[in-house]
Amino acid sequence: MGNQYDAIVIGGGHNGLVNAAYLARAGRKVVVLERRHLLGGAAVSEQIFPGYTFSVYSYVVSLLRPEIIRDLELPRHGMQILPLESSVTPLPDGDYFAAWNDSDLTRRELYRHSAMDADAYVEFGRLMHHMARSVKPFLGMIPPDPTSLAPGDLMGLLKLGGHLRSLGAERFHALYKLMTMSSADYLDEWFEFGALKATKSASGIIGTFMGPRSPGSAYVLLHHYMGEIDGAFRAWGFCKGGNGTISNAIAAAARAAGATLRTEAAVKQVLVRHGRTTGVVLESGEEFQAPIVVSGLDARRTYLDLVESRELPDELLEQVRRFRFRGSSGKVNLALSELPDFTCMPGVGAHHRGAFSISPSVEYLERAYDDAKYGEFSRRPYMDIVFPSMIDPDMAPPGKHVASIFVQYVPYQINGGWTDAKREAFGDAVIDTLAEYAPNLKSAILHRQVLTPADIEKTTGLSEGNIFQGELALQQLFFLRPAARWASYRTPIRGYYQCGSSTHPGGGVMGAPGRLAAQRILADA
Amino acid sequence: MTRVFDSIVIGGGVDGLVAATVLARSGSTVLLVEAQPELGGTFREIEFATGFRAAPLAPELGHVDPRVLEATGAVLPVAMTPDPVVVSIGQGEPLLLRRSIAATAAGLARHSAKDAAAWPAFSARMHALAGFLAELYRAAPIQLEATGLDDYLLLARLGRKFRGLGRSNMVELLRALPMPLADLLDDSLESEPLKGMLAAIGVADLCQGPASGGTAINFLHRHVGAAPGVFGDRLRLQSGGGALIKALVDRARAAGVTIESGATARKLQVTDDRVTGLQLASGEEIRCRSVISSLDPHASLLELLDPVHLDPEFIARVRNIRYRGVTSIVLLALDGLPAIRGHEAARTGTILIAPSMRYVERAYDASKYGRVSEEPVVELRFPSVLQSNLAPAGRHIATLRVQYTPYRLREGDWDATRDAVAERAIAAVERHVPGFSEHIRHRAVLTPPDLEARFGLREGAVSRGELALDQMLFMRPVAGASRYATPMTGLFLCGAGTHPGHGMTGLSGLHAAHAARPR
Repeated sequence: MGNQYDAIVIGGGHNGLVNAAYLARAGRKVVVLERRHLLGGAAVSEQIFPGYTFSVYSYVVSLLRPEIIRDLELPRHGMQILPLESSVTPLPDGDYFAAWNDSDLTRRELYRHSAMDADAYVEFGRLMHHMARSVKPFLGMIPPDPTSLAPGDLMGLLKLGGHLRSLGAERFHALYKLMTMSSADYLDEWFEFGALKATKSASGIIGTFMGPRSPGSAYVLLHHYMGEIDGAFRAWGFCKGGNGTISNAIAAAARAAGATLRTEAAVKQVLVRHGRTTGVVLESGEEFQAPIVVSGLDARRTYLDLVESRELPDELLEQVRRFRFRGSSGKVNLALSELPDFTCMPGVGAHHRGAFSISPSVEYLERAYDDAKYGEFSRRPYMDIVFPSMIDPDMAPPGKHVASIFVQYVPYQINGGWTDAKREAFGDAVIDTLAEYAPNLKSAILHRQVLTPADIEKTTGLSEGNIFQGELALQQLFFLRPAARWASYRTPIRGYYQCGSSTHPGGGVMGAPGRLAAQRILADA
Repeated sequence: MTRVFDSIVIGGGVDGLVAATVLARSGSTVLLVEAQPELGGTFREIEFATGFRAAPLAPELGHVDPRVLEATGAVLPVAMTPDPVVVSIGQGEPLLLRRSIAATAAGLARHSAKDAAAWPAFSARMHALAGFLAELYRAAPIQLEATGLDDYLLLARLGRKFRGLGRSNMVELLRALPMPLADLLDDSLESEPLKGMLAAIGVADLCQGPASGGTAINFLHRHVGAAPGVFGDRLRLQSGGGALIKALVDRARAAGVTIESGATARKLQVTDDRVTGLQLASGEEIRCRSVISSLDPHASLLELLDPVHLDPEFIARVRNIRYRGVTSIVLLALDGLPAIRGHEAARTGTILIAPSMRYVERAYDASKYGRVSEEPVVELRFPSVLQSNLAPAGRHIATLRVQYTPYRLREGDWDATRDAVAERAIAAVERHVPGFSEHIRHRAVLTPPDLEARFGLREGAVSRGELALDQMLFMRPVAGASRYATPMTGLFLCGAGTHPGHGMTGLSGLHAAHAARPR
């Protein structure tokens, strides 16, 4: 039988690939089954328009775990990360706020706006650095179940308790505040300059259905501070060739370790006999056998679509049903005849090698959220814009450019449902808003691709288009991700595991769930 | 001659009275000073029109832990809130929240069969979760740096209580703590009038809407001490705040507490890094070994105390406490009672105008931008129905708790906005209780700045510090002072600004007295 494996990984997203690579490196015979014609899930590069390559969905990289880069030797497999050097927030009054990778430069820039903030900035950076370090051990551990008295769980809890106590009261309280406060309130304690607070808050709302004033949003701020490229905390980068190159590098590492990667192989169902998995069957009818099946899909698909409900306890089904996705972000990809000329920083320059953030004030973000709260896309949305062709000229024909615009808020559940007309209206709102800051934008657009959460769901399979496979909210983290008792990558079906961003520690192109799930699987064997 | 006491308690509200009584009963000599001519703090009644009185901030008593009564020996003149507890109007048939779970469910069936079926389990679950909060509130908060035997005993007790919830409720509790109330309600219920009612109850006095994270715990906090299925009011005072205060004052006097009203505390005296006395506004200096302040944490730590005695980090924490009052109270003198769409009984409970969760959320949105809600959430009560001495014979009063009316307005000032608050609140009631406004003979409006001026509530915050996750338990009022003792030796805090917070009547006074008791 040709389709007999030690392990089957469903879904060739980056976590599935990481998982397969680790399993293959441990000597397992692994196959990855991907529904689409290309690997990568939401981390793919595609030529949407002839000559123009886009990181269609996820577009920057920061959170990818350094141990994965090391273990899988990703640079050797073609991954090259180029730093994003700046982030510019254009302001309505024609000024701007620019943050640079060099914190001294950022400080100097801040002095233009607020001397107080410039001074606080250094201290803030130091605290965030400590906070990120404080939570690092959490990211690297399989979450213990606090309701369990099993020795493994108790040990895990004791270890956590010990870790928290070792932080000392001061840092523990700082961490607690960060975990529970709203990003707006948290930043208010530090800064006064609106654009600084807004641009920082923005990272706290990405991929969630919360406004910057909602408690719980400050934590996500930290999530975005944990980026670690070459050991430097909080640097964001861009992958040469787009984010698909990351997936391809992981895929190459998996292949090199002996894994088989199959595309256009949509899994229809996970086969279960007597409470344990025996393999999967594809839409085509083809069957694969393995004692271990790992789902890289989100919790809804893993539990509600791929297996029969009767195989699962009600308690888990209930938790999965109420696990919240609520996709709130969209993407606009543009092919451009020339770069946008920002009024606040005229001409083409180094700033185009960084990001632009449309986040002039916290109130702006909050109003953007209000629209979505009542079922409409933001009339004036938050945007994070990069021009990958500035960093990697191969992304566009000579002299031409591509722009990647991450947009929030755009709700999956829109009043009246998504239609083509509504999608285009959303695209227009994005372009109109951006054109206020860069008037030549409209005439420079050669092609545009507008992706709503509904489109993201349709193409990538991410439920409700949530880019993190489920909201990153405190009640959906750690031992509650995706469900209490089942946050350890195991499922109630023996041999069936979960390794996507629906599991701890969640989304972003991080790879940690794939790696931790592999650890769990290998330990269980 | 300089007077000397073991302890001085500042503030003659419930917590101050409880703290003073408990200390005196343990053998200390205690002086209680109250700046106002009358005792009672937020339970104080005011005469807002000739012959018409109201206790604007004390529509109900909150939760009274039996330990408070035991420690003070007080017997409180309270009664259960009459049935129905809450009547929510505004969408379809009025929705009645009754004492009996079955009766509530029966009424719910008219709105949603699913919710009627879900109600008993929902009620039981919320009750179990709030029960764990009650346990947390029974003692000073547990600290990270717990080291003493007492701490471990407390930890063990909480651990046992937690496990006693059972696996499913353990998960529910951990999940609910950081959750938006909207999600918690959506998990079990579907009917908008019901969710609107519960959402309004949950976010009462909070500068957040139900969709905000961390609001589920506010809903549970408001349920502590209540019977299953009874959300909103817990205990009604049989004959008003006056009788409650009189009962507590009697106990304080019996225990030997010296009580002086009209005496404003001005400055703490500090010698060798410890409190040695208190100076009053009159200039009198009184010596003591400890001061227990029931004022808000900001006033206690940064105004009474010279901040030079505190570490700058600690001062920054105190300055960062969020207050953010959002509630206004409209007091109305009525010439008679309006008909409540055929539900006369509703007039003894709370009538709530919060027809849907979205309505509450929209009302909140305004406050984010420094505006007063166009269509506010209104809680309407007719206290004179139960307590006839509040109004002349044949007349009545109505109190309207109006939310959201932020302390800081972006445009205009409060003097120009006061009338708009009353008019919008009355209009909201009139929409659902036609003819209501015809009965109004006189009105008085207490905006957040008015509440600050008249009741000493900083920023008009009834909570005396927003009850948010980062300002609760070991973080209330701030890390490093959550166990009532402060970094200044001899200065202790109590009151709603400290653990366990607003609505937990007298508990902080009791805990603070234990912390301050000489050992």
